[in-house]
Amino acid sequence: MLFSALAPGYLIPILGYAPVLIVLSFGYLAAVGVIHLHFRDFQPAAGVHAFPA
Amino acid sequence: MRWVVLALLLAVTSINYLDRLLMSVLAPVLRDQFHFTTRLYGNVSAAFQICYALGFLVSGALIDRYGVKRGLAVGAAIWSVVSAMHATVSGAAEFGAWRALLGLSEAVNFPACNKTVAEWFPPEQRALATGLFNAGPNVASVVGPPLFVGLAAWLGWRVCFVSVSGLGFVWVVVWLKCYRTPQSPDVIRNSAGTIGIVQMLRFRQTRGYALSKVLVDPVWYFLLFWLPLYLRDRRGLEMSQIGWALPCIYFASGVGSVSAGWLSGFLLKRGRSLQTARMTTLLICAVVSPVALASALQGTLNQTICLLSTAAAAHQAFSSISFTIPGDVFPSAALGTVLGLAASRERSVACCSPHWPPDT
Repeated sequence: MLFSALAPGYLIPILGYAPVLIVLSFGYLAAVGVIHLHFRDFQPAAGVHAFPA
Repeated sequence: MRWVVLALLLAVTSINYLDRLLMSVLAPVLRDQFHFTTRLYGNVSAAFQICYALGFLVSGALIDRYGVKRGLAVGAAIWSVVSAMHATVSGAAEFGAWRALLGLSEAVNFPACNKTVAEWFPPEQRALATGLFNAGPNVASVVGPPLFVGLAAWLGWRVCFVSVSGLGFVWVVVWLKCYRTPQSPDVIRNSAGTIGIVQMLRFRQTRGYALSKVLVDPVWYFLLFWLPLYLRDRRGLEMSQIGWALPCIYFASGVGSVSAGWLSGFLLKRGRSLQTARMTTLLICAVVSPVALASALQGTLNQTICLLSTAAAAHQAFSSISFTIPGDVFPSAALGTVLGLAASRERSVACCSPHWPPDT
């Protein structure tokens, strides 16, 4: 979160746009890892039951 | 019928983005008229983002409870009224207030559209369908800038807001007339109940999906909210030049969105597993984006536009697949809630950076 949102406003004046955007862009690779870890084999989530309306 | 539904989703998503894009396209004009500093503009954008995040918290659950037909119609009608009210403002505070209400009401769109796709389309077509309606922002971004720049120069900026509002109302009438709830077993089974937000947070898939959205979307916010100002202030483009540069970038992102959906479906049809189809597509996008952005802001203007277009295409490709994934693992009764929770977290982070770029 620090590098994806809070930091840019403070880092851009010091580093410029390009370095900050490059750092942010590595979020995509991190996100692929997160999805792989959390969704594993993409089987339907077990135990999701609807409450009566 | 499903392709008619998809066309309606594409239309409403385009209108949704026309509403929010309008302010960033007109930002240079509004800044001159209302004497916005960049920081004040950031605060007005943040008002939208904060309320957009709050709106997601409830909109997904409401869509699960009341269904997409009523939910999306009511949401689109409200945000169209709010959009028209932008035409009446006379200062930054009023702008902030209407932007906040716009954010609150527009949050209904993505949970509703994703839920509709999951209800209407089988897994092998779902990513393509998501990619197509997720191209709505790009349709808006291609059509919007030249249209708004021309309309603002001809009739004034206030007419732009009223025009987009009118489109919203036309869409609501067509949606209510055309849409019917699909009669698939999953939809019927799940239409009898709702799933609590707290219950959904217990699932690792919900938490993982939300975290992935937080990680990838800041780049998109730069392209969506700040690019016009960046191109004018840092690259010295005139409004007329911005009017063609932005559509190039956003058109490429639309192509990326649809291509990713097609590739994922193609891999499924070739016998690959759901996991392989989705993850392969995501990985390609995740590699392309850093490479494109690494040199996007250097070099000549044309090189910058080309590389930003590539990065935007990679983002929307990533986004269309990630929008599809919850529909692969959750029943339709839970989809609105999951998507709303993830979007709410992601937008909460986005609104923490209202002063980007720095005040100049």
